[in-house]
Amino acid sequence: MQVHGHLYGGSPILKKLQIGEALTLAGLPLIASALADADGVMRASTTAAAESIGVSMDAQPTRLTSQQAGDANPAVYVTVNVRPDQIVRARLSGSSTAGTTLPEFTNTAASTTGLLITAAFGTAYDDGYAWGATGANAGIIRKIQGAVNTTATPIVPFPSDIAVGDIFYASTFGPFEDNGVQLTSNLAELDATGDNQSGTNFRVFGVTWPAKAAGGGLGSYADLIFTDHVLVQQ
Amino acid sequence: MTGATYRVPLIGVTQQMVDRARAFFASVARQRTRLASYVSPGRPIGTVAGTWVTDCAEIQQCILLCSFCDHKFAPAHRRYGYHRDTKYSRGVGGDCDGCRSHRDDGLQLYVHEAYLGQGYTPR
Repeated sequence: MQVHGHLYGGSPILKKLQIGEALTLAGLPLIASALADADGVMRASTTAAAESIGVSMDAQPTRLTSQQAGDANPAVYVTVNVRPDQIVRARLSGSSTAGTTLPEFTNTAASTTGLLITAAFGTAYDDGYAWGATGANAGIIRKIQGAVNTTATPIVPFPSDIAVGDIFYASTFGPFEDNGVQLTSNLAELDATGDNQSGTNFRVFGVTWPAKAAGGGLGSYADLIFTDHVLVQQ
Repeated sequence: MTGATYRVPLIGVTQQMVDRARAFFASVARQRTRLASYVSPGRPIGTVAGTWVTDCAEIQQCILLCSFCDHKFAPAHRRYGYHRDTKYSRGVGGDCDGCRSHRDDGLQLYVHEAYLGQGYTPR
C-alpha cells in the first residue's frame, strides 16, 4: 500500500521515526507502540490499526539494540507520511497471501431480474460487494444483501440479466461502509476474502473494480482512510 | 489586580463543552509529544551535510532536501540509486537532511529505487 493523496490536498509531511521492530518491507501501515516495554513505530496487524501513524516509504530491516562504535546513534529511523488525512491505496488480493488473483465466481443459473448470482460465494461476502468481471454487467458493482454457500443476492439489481457463465469478482468490504478490512499477512495488500466486518482499522474511501479483460483479477484497488490516527482524537 | 483570572461567561457555551474542548486539545498535544519522541534528530551537529546524506543513502533511507541543498545532490542521485520525485509538484514537508531546516512543503524527495512500487510509485 502507498499514499495516493490527501483528503484536504497538499503535500505529504514526512517524518523519520524510530522503529520499534525490524521492517523488511516498505509500504506498511505503522502504529505507535502500545506495549509497555516497546518504543518506536511498529507494524499494524492484519485486522487492527489502533493508534496508527501512517504508511512507511522505505524499509529498515535491522533494528539495533546495543551501543555502536564511535558514539553513533543506535536508533534506526523509517520515513513515514504522518498526515492523518492521507488516502492509502492498496491492491485487493484473493487470499491472505499478497499478489493472489481474486477468486472468480461463475454464475451457473440465469437470472432475468439481475438479483441473484448463483455461485459458491460463502457467508464471508454477506454485506460485501460483487462486481461483474465478464458478461453484460462487467465493471458494474453491487452490494450483496445476503450471501450463502451457493448464491449471492444484490440489494439493487444489476442493470442487465445475469447469464450462465458470467464471472463475478467479490470483496468482503466496500466504499464508506462502517466496517474494517483485513490485510494480507505481509500487510502490503488487502485480503478481499477475509471477513473483518467487525473491525474498525480502515474506512474504505473508494474501490477500483475493473473487469477481467482490464486485469481486474490482479488490478483491483481500494482507497483507505485511517480511522484511528494518533493525531486525531476519537 | 495582578494574578487574577477573569472568566467571561459566553452565551450558549456550557461547562461540558469547555471540558470537551480542553480534553480534545490535551489529547492532541499528548499524542504530538509522543510522536515527537520518535522523530529522528537529523544530521548531528558537526557532521558535514554531504556525509550525512550519503549515510542516509547507504541505508537506502528517503532523502529530503530543501532548494538550497538540493542542487548538490541532484546531479549524483542516480549514482546512489535514487529516484527524484516529480509527483508532488509542491514538494513535501519535513526536515531537510542537509541543513536541518523545517519546511511545511517545498522539499525535494528522493526515494531509493529498491522501494519503488512498494511505499512509493513514480508518476
